Amino acid sequence: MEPITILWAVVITFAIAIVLSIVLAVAYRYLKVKEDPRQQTVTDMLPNANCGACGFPGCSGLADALVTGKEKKITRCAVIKKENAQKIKEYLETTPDNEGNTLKVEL
Amino acid sequence: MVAFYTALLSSMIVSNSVLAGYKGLCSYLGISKKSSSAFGMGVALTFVCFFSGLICWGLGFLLRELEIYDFMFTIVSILVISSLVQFTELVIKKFFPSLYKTLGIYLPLITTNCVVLGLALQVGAYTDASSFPEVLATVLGVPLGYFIVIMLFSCIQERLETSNTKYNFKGAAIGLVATAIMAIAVYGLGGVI
Amino acid sequence: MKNQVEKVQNTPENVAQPEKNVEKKGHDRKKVFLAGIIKDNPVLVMLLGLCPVIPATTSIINALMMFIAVLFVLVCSNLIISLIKGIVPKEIRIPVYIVIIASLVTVIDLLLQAYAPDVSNSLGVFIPLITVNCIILGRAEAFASKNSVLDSLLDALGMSIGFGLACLVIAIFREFLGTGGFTLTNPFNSDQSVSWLPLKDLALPVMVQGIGGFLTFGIIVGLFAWITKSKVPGKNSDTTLKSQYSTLKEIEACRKEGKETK
Repeated sequence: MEPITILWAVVITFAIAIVLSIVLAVAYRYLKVKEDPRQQTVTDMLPNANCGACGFPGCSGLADALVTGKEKKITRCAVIKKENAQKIKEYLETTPDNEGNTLKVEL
Repeated sequence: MVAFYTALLSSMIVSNSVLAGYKGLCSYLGISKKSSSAFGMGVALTFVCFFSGLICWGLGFLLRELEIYDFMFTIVSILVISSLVQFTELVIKKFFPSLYKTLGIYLPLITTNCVVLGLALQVGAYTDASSFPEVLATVLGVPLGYFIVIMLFSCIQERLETSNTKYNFKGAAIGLVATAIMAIAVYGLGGVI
Repeated sequence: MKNQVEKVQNTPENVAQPEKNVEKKGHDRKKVFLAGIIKDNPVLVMLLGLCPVIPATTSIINALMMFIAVLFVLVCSNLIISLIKGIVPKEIRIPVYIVIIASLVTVIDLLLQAYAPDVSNSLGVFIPLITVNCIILGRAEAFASKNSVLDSLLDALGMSIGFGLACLVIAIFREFLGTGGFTLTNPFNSDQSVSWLPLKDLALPVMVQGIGGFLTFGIIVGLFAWITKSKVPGKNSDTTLKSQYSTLKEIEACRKEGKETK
């Protein structure tokens, strides 16, 4: 195995990685979706087990339903602890969205 | 033209990626609880397979020129596939938000779908540049075959959910037995095409 | 294996919430190791990494070689990822893990092609497909990136032993029913083989092919669930059970109503 082969391997991998990351960065800039800023925070506050027990596809699904008002009970989530559910409830009731409305949710 | 249709039908049905190639079983069993999510998964997978198959076929030629094909092809294909899946996720989130919500975490999971990498490895082995119709047919046929099987299986699963399976065979176990029966059908078509 | 069944306590929290258990188990090394074998067996309970199971269980030697390959990749990747977990930025961690796993898989693929070419030919494309095996990436993401080196090593050993045992059990059934006995060929020198074929005339070759593979696999998943008396196998076990309860309860309620009106 000549050293030039190893060099080509490294160079090609780097080149492909750089091209792909540029494509992804550009795509992220132009294909960004404006979403409710509270949704990401609620997703992080949920246990992130992605078990599907709540009936929504993954934890981000439940967060989306809570933030848009389609789901009122935080304890649809089978995995969440009481304190964390209380934290989410307080967060949603005190933080307004872009129009200044807060959400009323129950445990 | 005949070669194109032969390759298309053979990769779609006879060498079906799930039933005859045993690939893509994780998402096959996981996503097919509802036919709407199975439909979305099939569409997303077709998109990813088509582009990654063609790109990996091209990269195969480049790697063979530089004599690094034998040990670099897996790593390079997986880089291409994971970036393409990220790109697909961004596109779906922007243009089809309801589909994005249906798929949930199964969209990033296409990266670990054996169908896509299996297709890339299979297509990378074509050394002749004039085999493009065959490559195109394979790259379209494999995800369409997976799509057909996953739709059928999701309908079967919806029916199995409400039936009275005993002895803890519910869920995946009886689904796999149903898959075995489907595999008999595909096996029987083996010599036709 | 039967002794260990009694030791396992399948309380509802344990089975439905595997993520929570990970935090508790961090301090109990024995539980971390044993979890991968019975309670969270990747193939039979969590249903991860199913793709290589059916082609690798066509014979016992193939199952053993697949077990060795997965053991190597899983242990090394868990070790490396738990060592570098502090320096990898959160956004690009998945591509980094994938490249590490792909490199390890290339190493084992080339080793197998060189030293055990017949096994490599019969396993075919499924050795490179270990790259996208859900077990390895799932364990890297869920365990190795959050726990210490020793815990990740034990978890990797437990998971791969669970995978290996599941593959071995399925392979024993398939080979016995498919060829009428057991044939053990030396993977490194395929001229040497030892075979014991008592039921050669009654063999069902279909068991060694795909159909038999799916059938055996499904039956063994169901039998394992029955033996360990756990809940429905599968990732969304809670949803299935809840949805089934709601439909079954409705059916029961309808039946009761029908009986009362009559």
